[in-house]
Amino acid sequence: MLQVKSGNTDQLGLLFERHHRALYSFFYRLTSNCEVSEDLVQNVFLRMLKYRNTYTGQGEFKTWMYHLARNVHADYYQKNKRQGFSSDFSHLENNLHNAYNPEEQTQKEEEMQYLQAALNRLEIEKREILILNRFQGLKYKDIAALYGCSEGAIKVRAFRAL
Amino acid sequence: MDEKFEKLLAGFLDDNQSEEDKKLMAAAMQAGEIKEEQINNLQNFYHQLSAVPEPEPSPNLRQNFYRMLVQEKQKEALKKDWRIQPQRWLEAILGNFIGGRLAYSIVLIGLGVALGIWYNHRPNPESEKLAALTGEMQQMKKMMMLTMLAKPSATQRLKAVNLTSDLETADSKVIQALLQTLNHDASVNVRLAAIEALYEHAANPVARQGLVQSIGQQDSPLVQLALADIMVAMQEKNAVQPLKKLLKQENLNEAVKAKVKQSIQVLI
Repeated sequence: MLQVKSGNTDQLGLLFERHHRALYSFFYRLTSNCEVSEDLVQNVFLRMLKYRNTYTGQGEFKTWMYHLARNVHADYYQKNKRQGFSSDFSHLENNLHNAYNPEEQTQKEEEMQYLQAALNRLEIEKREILILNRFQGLKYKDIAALYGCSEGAIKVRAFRAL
Repeated sequence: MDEKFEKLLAGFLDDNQSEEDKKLMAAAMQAGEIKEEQINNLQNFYHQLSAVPEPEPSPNLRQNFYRMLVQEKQKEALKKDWRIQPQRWLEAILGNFIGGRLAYSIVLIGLGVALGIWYNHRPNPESEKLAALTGEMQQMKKMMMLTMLAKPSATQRLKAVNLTSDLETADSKVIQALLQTLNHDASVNVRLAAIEALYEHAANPVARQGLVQSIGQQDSPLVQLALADIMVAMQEKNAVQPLKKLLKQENLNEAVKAKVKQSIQVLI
């Protein structure tokens, strides 16, 4: 990222290859919408380019990236608050189509849908914390830095989300 | 549940517990504050979450990203271009023109000089007032002189003659008044002063002519001596004839005679 900051914008491609899946997964779990998630990933990289001068190199790049991602999502959420969220489970279904046993497949599918629905019912902040910790592999310490609060407070929120 | 235990359990589920936390958790379990069943349920749920398949983005995402990157790079290049543009124009103007910088400095110096000249010669209302005042003063002095020359007191008339030396330019009126004084004043001292005053305006032909003509009209030896000296000082050749005429006077003072002869010799 420091290279991108110093003007070598081609290096952003490398960052994209490394992190776009994780970001996509983050947004997908928040929005349950493939197209929107792809747009939001694109927005994060666009902001990386625009606000590259704000990257100081202190702390992990991942933390900065999720900081941008949270802002992008917050903007999207504000814009679409009135329209409501449309869930798009086609992707999950696609992934599960390869399951071996049809019975098992149905059961798994139901479980996953149940889980996703449960996630969607959580408050945005709790959902974010849970996703960041469980799926994106961020430590409580990093999430605390992202939210500007103590590690203990994040632990409590993560537990309550569960 | 107590916040303390919530923190402990969150750390436990994430497999991120310090030794101290582990001890605290074991103690809580022993005390029955955290139940094993509760932990198992949570752990199951937590692991179930990991089983949620990772969604895969479509190939469009990559394609769109690289398109965006190219577009942004082009935009930035364009922005840089705009920033450099005015500088380039200036460079082109100064660079193509041989000695552009020299010309620029010359223009600057010229501008400075012009400004300085304008500053010094700009119309100054105070200096104009001063000039007007000086003019008025001269006028007053002239008037005073002319009035004083008509006074009966010789001292007053003497003062009047001396006033002419203060006048920067003497007009014909002043010259005429002085000549009048020189030829007709009763006091010898006033006449002598008139000679001195007229000598100061020797450049004026009327004054010169008047002085020459005055030689024949004077009878005071002091005035005659003074006139003879002035003629030599003015190198006035026209004075030779009147001086020769003066020599022919019968009762001419000896000293005057000697002086006039000497003057004639010098002038010839």
